[in-house]
Amino acid sequence: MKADRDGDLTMGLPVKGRAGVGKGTGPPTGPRKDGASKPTRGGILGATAQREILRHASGTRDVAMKEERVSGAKGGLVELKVSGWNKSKASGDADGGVSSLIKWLEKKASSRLGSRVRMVKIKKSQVEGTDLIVKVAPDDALGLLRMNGFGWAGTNVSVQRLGGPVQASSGASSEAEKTKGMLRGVLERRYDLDTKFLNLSGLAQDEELKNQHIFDSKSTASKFFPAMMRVLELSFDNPEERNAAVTSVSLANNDLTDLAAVTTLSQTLPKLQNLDLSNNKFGKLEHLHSWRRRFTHLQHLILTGNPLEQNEPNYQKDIISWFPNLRQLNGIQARTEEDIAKKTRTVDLPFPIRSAHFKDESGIAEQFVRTFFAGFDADRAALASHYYDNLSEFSYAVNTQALRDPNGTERSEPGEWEGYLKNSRNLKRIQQLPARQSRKFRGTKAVADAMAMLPITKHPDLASEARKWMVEAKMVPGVPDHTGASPDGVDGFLITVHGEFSELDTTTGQPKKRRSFDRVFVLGPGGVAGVRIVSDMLTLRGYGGAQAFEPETVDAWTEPAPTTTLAPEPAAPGLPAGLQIAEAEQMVAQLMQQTGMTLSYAKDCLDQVGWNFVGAVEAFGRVRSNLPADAFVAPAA
Amino acid sequence: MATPLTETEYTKIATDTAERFIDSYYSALSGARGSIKTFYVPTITQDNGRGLPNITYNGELFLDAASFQDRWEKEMPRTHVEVQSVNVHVLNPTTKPTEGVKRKDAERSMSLIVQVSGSMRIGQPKEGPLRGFSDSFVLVPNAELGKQDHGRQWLIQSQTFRFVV
Repeated sequence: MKADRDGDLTMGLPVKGRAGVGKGTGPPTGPRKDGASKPTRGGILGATAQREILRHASGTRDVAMKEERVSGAKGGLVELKVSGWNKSKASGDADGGVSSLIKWLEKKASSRLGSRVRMVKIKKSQVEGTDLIVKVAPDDALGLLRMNGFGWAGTNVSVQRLGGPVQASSGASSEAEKTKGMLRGVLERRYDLDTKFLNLSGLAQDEELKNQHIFDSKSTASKFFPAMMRVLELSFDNPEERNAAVTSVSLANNDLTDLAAVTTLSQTLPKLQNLDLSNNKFGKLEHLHSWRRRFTHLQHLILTGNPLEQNEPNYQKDIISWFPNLRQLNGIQARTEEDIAKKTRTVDLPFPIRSAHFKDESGIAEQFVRTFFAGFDADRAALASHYYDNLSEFSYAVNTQALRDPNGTERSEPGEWEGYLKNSRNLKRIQQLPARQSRKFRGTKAVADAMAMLPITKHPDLASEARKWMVEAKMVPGVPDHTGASPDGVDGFLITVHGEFSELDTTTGQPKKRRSFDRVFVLGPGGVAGVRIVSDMLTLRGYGGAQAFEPETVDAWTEPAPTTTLAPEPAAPGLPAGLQIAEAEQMVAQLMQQTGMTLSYAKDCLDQVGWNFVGAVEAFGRVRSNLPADAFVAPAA
Repeated sequence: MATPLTETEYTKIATDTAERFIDSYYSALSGARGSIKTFYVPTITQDNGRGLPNITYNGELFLDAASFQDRWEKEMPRTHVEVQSVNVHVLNPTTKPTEGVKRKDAERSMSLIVQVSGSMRIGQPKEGPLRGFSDSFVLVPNAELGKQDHGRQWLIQSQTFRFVV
């Protein structure tokens, strides 16, 4: 299809086998020395329509326009003679094939691969005997002269300069410049702008490269591909444009046994989406190993027609694991879009994301977390007197540079941290000792005052929105002992909480901005609550989403110590037959919400009435006045 | 609590230590993985999962630094860490009896708790996946530090790491 529209008939070998990443056509192989090829036809679009499109395309590009004007100002057009075309298979056309020749020349001489796309325009043309005399802007002449010897409609055309201003740069060009130009020509010829496809298949069969004896010696063959990649890089102003211009590459039919010769592709086009490596000689997975963890954007890979298929029949599994975004391998689905969405943020790491490591004792840590965040939202002064004493320390640090939610749900705004920065103790920013000293708060009152200056918050419900939380806990030795009975310190808890909150609008009470936080508590024994906060450090950052907390695998894994989850665990015999754990959890959560009781009291209450919710509420009403203060989530005011 | 140090001195020691420690620790993760285990206290085996050091990494528990280092050396692709936020508190100002303690000893008789927020690039520079992380450490003085001050001044007793973005 592409060949027809191009009018380029010298198509090389079709890619063998199945589904190519491009459109399954082979590459154009350069100037033809033999005339044996298919006749050209007009293509899908009429010549006028095509020219219209080309003109439009060039007209929309400022750079090209500017260059034309500049060169026009230099004065005069370059005159070129095109010959050898009149015996073509298009000679039967009404105009002897002239209009399709012009169209082909313009298209082929245009440079489409690069930051400065340039559409060549033949300004004037005239048939003189067997020659076609064309006039073009000086900047376009080079592109047309490069076409000398190219095959068109079964013939080889020659292009020669007749007269007009000579472009300065077209003068004495070094051998290196010539090679560069040649490689550029190869890339141009093998690039399809519409599909962003660079077809580098069957390079050894490329007539132009053969003429240059590229593959005749080992040294030129090994330098060729890196040099071509370098030329490709130089064609673009920056990697972004390059990655956007080429999204598919075929290296099919290149007799590759490993990646040594072509490995630079992964540096030049690291964001490639489609890659065809079919019909090469890759024998083992290890021969592809150097591209493991490269091409992280790769969506479709073709490896058919390699000895690998026979040697390592299960190679697909490894390949799929190498490329986290791979959707199709050899045209067969490797991952669904759903799989990808789920895994977008999790790479195949040697430290897989696991569920919370929560090592509690007697539910102390769990009880603390539930109570603390409910209190932080509801009444920070009461919270302070409940958990912090005269030696408790609190400080917070703002990380304004933190990564945001990959799904981009919350925008960053200028000045969005203003209300927080005054007391932020991020040591990366706060260098002066007095500031470091004054931004750490010790004692109930200082802590309460500092926390009062932070915006009103609403944290998600721990029970019903557990996936928005990541809470981990462990024992920590050497926590200072208030009583002085243990000079070496006592065992305490180290609790790490990652989560999110919404700031509430002070007038409407409606949730405004969402933010994420990380908080580390060290708890020691003592205080009115049975535990006291020794240390509380909070990091505030832009909203980062909750997807990072999703465990990669839910199946069992071996772990040195038993863990418990934050979800309430009804004692096995405690639940009546037929009651699902999830239902029980929901009842507990509802009862907590309705009564303000803590988790363990709510659970006990439900237990006593046989898990009848209404019965539990009634029971609560009867015993309410007799319940101790610590039966309630909100600290006793 | 009799101690020869002022509040400001505590803050200075804690913040200086934290900054120095963070610099060398994350450099080692990326560039000197063979030295990772030297950042942790020697292994103490205890029942009930309470041995030390306690390294919790994305929810996985390591109870000795050697196996943690091994994972980094053998399996972790190239990483680049950008620390964006650091904070530190003195966890316990007097891990040893302080009566009649000399000033120099007092400086090394405390434990610290450090909180870090940053990003980690995994694999290819500029191209590899970028993750946000939160890391926290309990640091204790190196009890086996020789007279010539060979070895690290502070060691990790407990660590909790998570990718959070």
